[in-house]
Amino acid sequence: MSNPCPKEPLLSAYLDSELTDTQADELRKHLADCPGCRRVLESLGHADTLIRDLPPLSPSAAFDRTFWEKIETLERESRYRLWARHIFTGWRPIWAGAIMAIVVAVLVYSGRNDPLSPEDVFIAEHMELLEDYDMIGQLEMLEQLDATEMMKDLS
Amino acid sequence: MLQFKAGDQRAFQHLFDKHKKRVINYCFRYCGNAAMAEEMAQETFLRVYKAARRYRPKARFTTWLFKIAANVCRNEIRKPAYRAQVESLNGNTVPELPSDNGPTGSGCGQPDALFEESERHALVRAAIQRLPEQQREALLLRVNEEFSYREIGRQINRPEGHVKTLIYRGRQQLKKMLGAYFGVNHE
Repeated sequence: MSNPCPKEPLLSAYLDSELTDTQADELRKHLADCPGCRRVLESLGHADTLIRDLPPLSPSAAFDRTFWEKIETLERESRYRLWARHIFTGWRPIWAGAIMAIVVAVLVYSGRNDPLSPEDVFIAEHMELLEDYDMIGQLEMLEQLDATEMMKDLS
Repeated sequence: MLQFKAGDQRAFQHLFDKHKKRVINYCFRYCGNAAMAEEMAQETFLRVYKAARRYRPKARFTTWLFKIAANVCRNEIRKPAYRAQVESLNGNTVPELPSDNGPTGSGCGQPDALFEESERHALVRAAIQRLPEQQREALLLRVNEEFSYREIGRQINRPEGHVKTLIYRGRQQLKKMLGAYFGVNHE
């Protein structure tokens, strides 16, 4: 025999034409003299034959139709996503303006719900009296003290 | 694919028509269930459709296509629904063959030979499904689709040396599982 028997993975690779020309030549020479390796090679090849002999499966009648329906759904979703992206990114300045307008409107509206009292209006119109406001408060206290003393006198 | 990428919808239809049978059969041999194989094939083409804009012609289109198909099959068989289906088939020694595929070869027309052939096909299918995932992928991509080790390596993200070992081990496993069909003069 020319060479020692090759490892079986090499025979498997030979079967797949994955050896270099030199390796394949050496192996061919060896196979010519080695019935054992020829048997191994044949059994490896037989596994392939069993797989290749399996009858092919033809697509069912509904295969194409259901596939194109899926593509249509995909396209629809894709169009929707594009549209949504366009709305949210392409119209960004418009959205920003609209949001600002809404914020201002909310602020104005919420202000209207809390109308000013006549006293507040009076103070606002006569801001110069604000300095005397503490004094007025103290006068009120004095009036209350006077009233208390009067009550004491009466009792 | 480049035409489709450029916006030609008919190019995709052409790709689909050209490759659908191959992809269905790859999925069918991978999972052993015709309905599931069709679902997997459709999912494969949907992913091709979605990924068209990102497509870069680094290798043959079919290398890329079957890489996607292998990913889809791998994901699908990890789902509990598939496992349940395989377990239910394991008790059935002769799974049902597709009705539209008549027997081939010399046994046609003879009930015993026909039964033997259909039994053999069922057993081979079952044996393929019992192969570990990577061995199954590599072996089917090599034997049925005739991809080179380099291409298979790209498809399953493994180096060429690993692909060589996987294919060899796959063949050995089949030989072990289908010993009766590896006799000197089977049939």
